[in-house]
Amino acid sequence: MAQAQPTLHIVRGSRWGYRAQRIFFFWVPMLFFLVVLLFPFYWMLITSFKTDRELYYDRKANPFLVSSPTLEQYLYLFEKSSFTQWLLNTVIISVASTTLSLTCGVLAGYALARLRFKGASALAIGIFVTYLVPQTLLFLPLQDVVRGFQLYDTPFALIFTYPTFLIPFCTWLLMGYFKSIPQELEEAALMDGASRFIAMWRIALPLAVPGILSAGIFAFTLSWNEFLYALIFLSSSAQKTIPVGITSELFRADAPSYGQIMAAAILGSVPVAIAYAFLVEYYVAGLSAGSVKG
Amino acid sequence: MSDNVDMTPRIPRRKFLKRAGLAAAGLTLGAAGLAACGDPTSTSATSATTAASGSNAGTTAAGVTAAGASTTKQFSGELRLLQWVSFVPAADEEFKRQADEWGKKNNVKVTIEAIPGNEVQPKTVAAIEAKAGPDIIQMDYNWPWLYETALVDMSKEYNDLKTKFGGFFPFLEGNSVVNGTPRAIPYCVVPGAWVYRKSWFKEVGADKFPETWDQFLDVGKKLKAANHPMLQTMGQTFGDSPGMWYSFLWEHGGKEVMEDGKTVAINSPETLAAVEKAVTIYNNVFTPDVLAWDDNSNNKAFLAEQISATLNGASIYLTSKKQNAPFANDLAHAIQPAGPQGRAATQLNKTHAVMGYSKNVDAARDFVNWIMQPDQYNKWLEAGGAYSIYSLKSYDSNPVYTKDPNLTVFKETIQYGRNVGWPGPPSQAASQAFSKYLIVNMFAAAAKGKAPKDAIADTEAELNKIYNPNKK
Amino acid sequence: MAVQPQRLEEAYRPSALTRLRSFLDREAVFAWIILTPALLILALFIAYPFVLGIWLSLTDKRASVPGNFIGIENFIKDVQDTIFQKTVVNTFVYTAVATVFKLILGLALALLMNQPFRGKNLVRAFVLLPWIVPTVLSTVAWQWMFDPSYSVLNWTLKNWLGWSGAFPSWLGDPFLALCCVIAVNIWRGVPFFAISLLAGLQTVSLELYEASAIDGANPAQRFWHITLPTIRPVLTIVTLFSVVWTFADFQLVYVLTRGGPLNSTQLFATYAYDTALRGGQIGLGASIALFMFPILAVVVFIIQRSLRREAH
Repeated sequence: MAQAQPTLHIVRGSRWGYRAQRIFFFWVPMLFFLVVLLFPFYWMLITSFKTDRELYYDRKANPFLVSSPTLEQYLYLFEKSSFTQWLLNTVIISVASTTLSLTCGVLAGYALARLRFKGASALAIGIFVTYLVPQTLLFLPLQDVVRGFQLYDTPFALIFTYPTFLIPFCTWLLMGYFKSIPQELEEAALMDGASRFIAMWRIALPLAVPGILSAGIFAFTLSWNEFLYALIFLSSSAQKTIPVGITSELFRADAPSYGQIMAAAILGSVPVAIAYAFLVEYYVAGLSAGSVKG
Repeated sequence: MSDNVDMTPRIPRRKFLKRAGLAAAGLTLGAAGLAACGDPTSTSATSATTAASGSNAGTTAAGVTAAGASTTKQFSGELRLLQWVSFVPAADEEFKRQADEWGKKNNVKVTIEAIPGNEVQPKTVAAIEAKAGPDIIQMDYNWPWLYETALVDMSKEYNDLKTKFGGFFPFLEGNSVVNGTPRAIPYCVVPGAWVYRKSWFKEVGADKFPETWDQFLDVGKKLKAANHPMLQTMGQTFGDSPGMWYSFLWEHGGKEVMEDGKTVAINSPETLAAVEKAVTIYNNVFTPDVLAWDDNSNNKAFLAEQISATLNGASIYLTSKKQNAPFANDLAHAIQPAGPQGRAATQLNKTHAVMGYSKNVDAARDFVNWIMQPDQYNKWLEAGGAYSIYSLKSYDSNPVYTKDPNLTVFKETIQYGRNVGWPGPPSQAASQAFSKYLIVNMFAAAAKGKAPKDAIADTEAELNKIYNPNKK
Repeated sequence: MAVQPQRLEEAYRPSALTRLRSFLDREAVFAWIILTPALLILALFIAYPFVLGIWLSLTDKRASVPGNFIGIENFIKDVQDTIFQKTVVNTFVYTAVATVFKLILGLALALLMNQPFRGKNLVRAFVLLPWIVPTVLSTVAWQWMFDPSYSVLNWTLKNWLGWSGAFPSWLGDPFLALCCVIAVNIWRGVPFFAISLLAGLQTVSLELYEASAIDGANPAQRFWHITLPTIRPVLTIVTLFSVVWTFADFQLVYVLTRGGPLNSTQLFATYAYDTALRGGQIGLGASIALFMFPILAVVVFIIQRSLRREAH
């Protein structure tokens, strides 16, 4: 990833001309992108620290600043809404579905990348195709399946349905990863009499850890962000995940409640942002591997 | 099983109650309350208790003792009720308090869940499909027609309440009694009236709210020019939008279907007049925002002092009083302007349905019945501050409706209440047309520039698909 | 090692257990064993629902009423339905416009980020935020920014840009609402394009670049003849992925407009949701969702082919 980059030595002319060019063709557009891409987050943050009075009545003040910062919007979330419960649900569901998918994905990815058997390539294509089946295509019949297994309104409704898009993804990404690991080590182990499982477990898996990590982060963020299934397969307040909880229970009828909603949106984004901040390199590697290299 | 055993004593009892109800009508509400408590409503009540308490109901203290016995029925487990986030938080709190009270008394864990009004229907369908979910759903309008087979037969509770408390309003009966069987207990009506800023109306020379739609147009033009427009939603949203546009259609003599409930009748000169009038109002009185408004938007815009009037429940008034808004004393309410055919109103109503998949049907039925009893119902009405109108006529005497002269108008609107699909009988087809927002969209499409004739023709075609699905 | 004596033993008297073990250790057997968990879940929760979905779409199932087989009647109804026709147009416009903009802006951002500058890592981390953060949560923030009563955009227009008169009705005007929904989709998707393309840009050969610079090629020529061909495979795949996701989008529209005003932002997914879960017409809703399938299948086929071409 981090090889030498092609440095563009744009026409050098005078030093002054270079500067001007740099400002107009680099910093101005860069700043534009940054402002547009990041403003909504600034707006979420600033809204969440304002009082209701400042948000809805004080119409003269500059809305980009806070005049009397407060934590009341956050306190409301913890004291008067089920936010903590939603947070917990989201964590449990994300971790469980990620673990399940990663396990299945590692095994399947290994089989497809390393082992020769009839139908391997067709199967690889099949799994790839399921990766591209959007949730919106199947949510109605899936509802019947969820009912059939009596999973409606339980965390398992999501823990078992999220893998439908996580497994193909993990498998695909890890297939690429396993292919890039040299086979000699495993072959040597097999020659020494190790079983295939041992060869996979002791030799290939440790080498694939970076790939597993990036698949894991991806799967985690994808399940954290999922909305449609959570909207349809969950019903009671105590079972909801953060995205569904926010859209269905924080909007008040009698008055706007954007302060609380933005506070919840911030808190709901922090875990994924942190997960990703620590592992940004893996994430980017995964992004390009998963989507690009295939 | 036990239902069959129960059947025999039930009929004479009901007859008796009818008489008791007549007697109670002469008594005070308090006495009616005793009668109510004395009535063993649960299906698990034995015929012996029935006879005993029945004969004593409303007359002696023994009725009350029997009530004590009958409320400690053998319930257990959990009960979940799904409802909208009402526009008056105090009413929701009182509702929750009552649920707790009942739950403690009956050893049942009751959970009340409130979600935005527009979400209730998708959640209902999802629950019905999943055959699991809330035990009780507070439905809108005539949804019981849509989900008939998924709902428990509530005849017993319905008829008891009806006899004891002076009966339900006719349009509520139409919404809840499906093909002869009551499938839900009407809880309340959330009527709409125009809330307006007196001073801004004075500024444009209007001393009171317009009485007719022509006057509305005149005043509206001036208010728009003064940058204080009157606005009302034309969007796809459950309460305010049908409340305005079905009524508007009827007031101009338009209707979607004939009395037979089969012949689509939308394509008429009256409808055309209504649509054209609506377009003029949209262009001269409204702003395009109304197309995206949901039920909360006019509350927000009014409280943000951006509009001078809107058709709404009492919530704007109640909220501005509660928040001590500087303009709280500048508000007044007025009844909907009249059209060539007088006044009509689509009343948003709430009705409690017990879901057939529920594992706790008996408890659910008991709870739904219990909250209709005076001790509970009166308190809930008062907490709502006249926002909700009673469904049972004998609650008319609740003082909340006379306490604040600014709120009396809401009760008046009840007399104009009509069923969706009027003048046809309540039906599944009418409910479907409603759920697809066909009438609202007809007005909105014309407002957005479609020729009124075309907008009506499109709506006619859609209505035909619903009312006559087999005719090609 | 402890393995050795065991192998010797095996050679002398193969017990049932060891035979089983060696059977399980056969390459194909082992492969299918470790594939089983994944295949089981996919079969239960994708393959089976898919078949069920087709069946549902051929029935007149309604909420609380079991369905009867009615052939392709639902699909005929869809095609004749004016809202459905509008939905088709909307979905194509939404996908096409959003993808084109994401591509252009994403490429521009990738080129910018490929320059050396201070704070590069920090910028790269921040730029990805719109893509990382749960869509529903960021969309709620946009909803707040478009709010008819409290829009910060309106405030800016009025106080900083001297706008007078009626404010644009962001989500109220049918055309503007579609633009807004598309804009938010672009906002969310640009980082994905940018970061993926950046990875592609980093494989552009430095030697080629310098050689062509010496030959006097200007930056536009170099971009066209060197950069673009190098990143074209990446570009194709990223674009096609984005097409699939955008085409099947749900949450963004659900939160911002719910398909309104006047169905002007209705997409396949939101209309299927509305029809099935609001209107209660489950069979009809399933047929609307299934209309996405042939179109998606074509895109997936193209992706599949270009991936393979790249592999060879």
